[in-house]
Amino acid sequence: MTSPAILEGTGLRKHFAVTKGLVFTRVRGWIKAVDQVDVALQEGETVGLVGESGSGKTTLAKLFLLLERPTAGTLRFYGKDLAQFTPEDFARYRQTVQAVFQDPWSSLNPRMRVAAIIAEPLPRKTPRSQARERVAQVLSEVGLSAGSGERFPHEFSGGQRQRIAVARALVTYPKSIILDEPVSALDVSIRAQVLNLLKDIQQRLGLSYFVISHDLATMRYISSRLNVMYAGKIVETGQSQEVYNNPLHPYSQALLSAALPLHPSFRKRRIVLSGEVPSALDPPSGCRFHPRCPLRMAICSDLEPLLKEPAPGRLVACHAVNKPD
Amino acid sequence: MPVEGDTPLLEVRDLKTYFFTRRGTVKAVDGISFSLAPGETLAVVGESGSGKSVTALSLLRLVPEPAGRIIHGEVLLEGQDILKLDHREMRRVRGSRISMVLQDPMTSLNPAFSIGDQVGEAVRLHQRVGGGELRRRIVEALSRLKISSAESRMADYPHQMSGGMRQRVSGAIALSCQPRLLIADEPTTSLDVTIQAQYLELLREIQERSHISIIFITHDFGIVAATAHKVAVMYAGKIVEMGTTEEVFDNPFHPYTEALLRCVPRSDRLEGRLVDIPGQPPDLTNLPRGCSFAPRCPKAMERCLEAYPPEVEVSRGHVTKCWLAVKES
Amino acid sequence: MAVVEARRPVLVGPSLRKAWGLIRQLPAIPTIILSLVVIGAVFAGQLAPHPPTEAELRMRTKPAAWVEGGSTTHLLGTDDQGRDILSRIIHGTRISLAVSLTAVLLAGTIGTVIGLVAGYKGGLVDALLMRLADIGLSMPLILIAVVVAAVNGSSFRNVILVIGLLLWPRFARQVRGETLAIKENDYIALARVAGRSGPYIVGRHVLPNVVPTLLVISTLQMAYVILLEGSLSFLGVGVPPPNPAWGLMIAEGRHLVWTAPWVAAFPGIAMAVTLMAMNMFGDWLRDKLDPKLRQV
Repeated sequence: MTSPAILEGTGLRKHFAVTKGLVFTRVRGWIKAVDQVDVALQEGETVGLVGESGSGKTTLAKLFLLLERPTAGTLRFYGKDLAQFTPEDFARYRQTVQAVFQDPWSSLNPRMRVAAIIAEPLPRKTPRSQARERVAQVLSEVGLSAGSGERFPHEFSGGQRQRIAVARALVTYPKSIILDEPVSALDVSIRAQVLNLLKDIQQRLGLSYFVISHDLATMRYISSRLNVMYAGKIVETGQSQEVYNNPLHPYSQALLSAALPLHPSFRKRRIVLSGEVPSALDPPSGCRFHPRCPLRMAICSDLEPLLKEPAPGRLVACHAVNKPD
Repeated sequence: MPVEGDTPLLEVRDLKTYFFTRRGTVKAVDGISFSLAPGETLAVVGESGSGKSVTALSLLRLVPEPAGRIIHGEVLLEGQDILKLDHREMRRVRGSRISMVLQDPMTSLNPAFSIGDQVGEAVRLHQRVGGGELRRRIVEALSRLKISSAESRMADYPHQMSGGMRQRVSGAIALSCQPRLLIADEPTTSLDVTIQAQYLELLREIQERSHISIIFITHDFGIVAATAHKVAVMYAGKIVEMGTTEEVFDNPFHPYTEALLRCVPRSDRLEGRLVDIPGQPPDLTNLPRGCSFAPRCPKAMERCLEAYPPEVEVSRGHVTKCWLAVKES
Repeated sequence: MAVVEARRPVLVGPSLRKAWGLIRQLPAIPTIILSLVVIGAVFAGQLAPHPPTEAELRMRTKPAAWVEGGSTTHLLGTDDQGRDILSRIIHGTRISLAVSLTAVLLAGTIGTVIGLVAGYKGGLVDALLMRLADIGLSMPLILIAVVVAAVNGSSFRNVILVIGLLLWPRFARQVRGETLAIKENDYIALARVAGRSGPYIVGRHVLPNVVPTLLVISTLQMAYVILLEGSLSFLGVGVPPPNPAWGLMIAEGRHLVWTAPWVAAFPGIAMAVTLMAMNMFGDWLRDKLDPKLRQV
């Protein structure tokens, strides 16, 4: 029996109500941002969540960061159900699970010194000297000079600001960091710097990462397990390299095929999907991908496919792939 | 495919655009030259501060004044130097002979007007048609960008559409008067991967049909590989390498191009370790003497710190500005 | 000994230079005018040639010194009670500044708190508070001031209260807007991820970023308050006589406008110039702070 996962979501749902009126509110409909998702994060691994806009990946991240509470389903932290958390549990959660967001410009309060920004997640009663020491420690972990603490965010470049964000995420000795598009807003040459830094830190400190991105190449470089999300559901999951080498779900295939070639001679005939990502208010019946799916069958518009295991370690939710026996 | 002919559609000669600010003179574009044939796509690649966006603005003479000014150079559109046109003549060029699409579909369209109105604005301005003929051209422009049910969609407002659709409307506006040259400044950066694929495919089809030339400004080599015939790599206001896409991908000469190609992770295979470029992009008000990339260059020599390298032809149609290419006599 | 002396210039030099650099950036005309106003207010007792309420009946209605009939003892002439106009104007700066500062402080505090809460909480709370602000904005200030004066008599306290209590919606609206924009920043979400509570976030993250806007609004509102106080005093429901409030002076000079126009004109010019300087300063402040905020 393996030790409990750091984070484990089972049957997670997050539905936002679309309401009319302020005092006498009437619910017009529901945005099913995350709809029945199972996902787990074990120690030491990097789980990737890839999807496009409207896939629900950012909402899922917010659930893990307790910025939103699930409408249904359970979230377990080292086996303990969130619904039964005591205030101490919440405090411990906050120390153990940290975050790095996409935009290095809005992640740092322009009116606070870097040292204060980094020290913010520390418990309130941490003595000043201890906090100062810890800040200096994490600054050096991310490759910034000790003097950086006295400066203000606007004195740093985008890549450096993202390093500050990472330093802040490390200050409470976390076990896992949730990264939402950590390098998308950075220049290409800086992305490599930050990705390498993240990898190094992970090894040195034994962290696990939960990375959300739309960039397939970044994901391939950094994740060990991959989840593909579409319209609030996970449609495929498996070991990263296996999914990349042989994507099974038609959406994964289209996604990987849509990724840009790395050489002009690879201007292959791509699978170009027609249509748009479905509206979250009124998703298609049955399998949400069926209107755009090249493998569409009759059953796809009636019945939602469940995640099944067509090959060891590979979970796919697709009627065409999981042929009924 | 580009049409071989004697007169290139666009010829830029030693273009310099500087910004005069209190902190100093920003040499955003510092002497770039290139040419573009009809039906050809040139990708201008660079990171922030390379000068690629200012190049686009300079070609359309939309550089924000008074701080910014094109201080030198010629931009020959079908043989005519558009830098010498007066304001009124230039306005006739913009939108009808050269057009542009920008990165952010949210702010490219005016939320207060229907998309029919916005597409029609360009047509009305340059082609002076009205009524039924105007309507017909608007529908045509929208259909060209594969916006289905264009007739009924005309009355829609931008907020009713998705990002990908809005980007297509921007494209429809840009192409409504059938310009000879389209400048696309990172048009797919904020789009989803699958929508990006749709969009690029669309552009390719349009180019095949109408032989429009495209200047594609991007930081993404994937886009270069997918769409461009030629590529120019910019760093600190200058073009440090230029050639056909195949040539530059296969035989990158300039260390910056090499580093850039190597530091991008690939989705088609597992990378060992990305080679990153140490340091930061230079401060454009305080460029070093000599080659501006030298402080970060793994192959820097003494010479590189003294003077900026001249342009050298490495192979046919492939040029670079690097001391490594200059043979000792 | 020598070591200590050598250290001091290093500390003083850069900070003096920095201060001078900041001063050089200030807009010349508004700053000079406002400095004069402030100096006048602070040192009124020393600067004014005559006590403001001293009535020299022999010197009644004398014109300015440079006009025929005037004298250098009363540079700007006297009013119909023989009081020196220049001295009254100088003392009047005190009143204008005191009233505007206090009223703005009152309105600003109330408005900021309400704006922060409305912007941060959103939903029903926001809607209720903003409706309250709408009510405040639709109140007829002059009418209310008249009623209050009728019931309670006109006094400094009443003027400040009336203006302050009716001015807060302007602050609230702006602060609410800023709060909404600031809420979108990731550092707010990250503070929540770090486990911080709402009040902490508002105080530590939102408020400091709202301060630049507050400074700008305050400056512009101070100008508006001076105008308001002037109007109220002119109507007799503001600062009570014999205080040398500029509005009162204009009112008192009303019936002399054909025979002794300077009695109303000089305080009027003083008010106009002060208001203009404040507005110019506020505009400059807004331009200075705004694009930098965007850049960051």
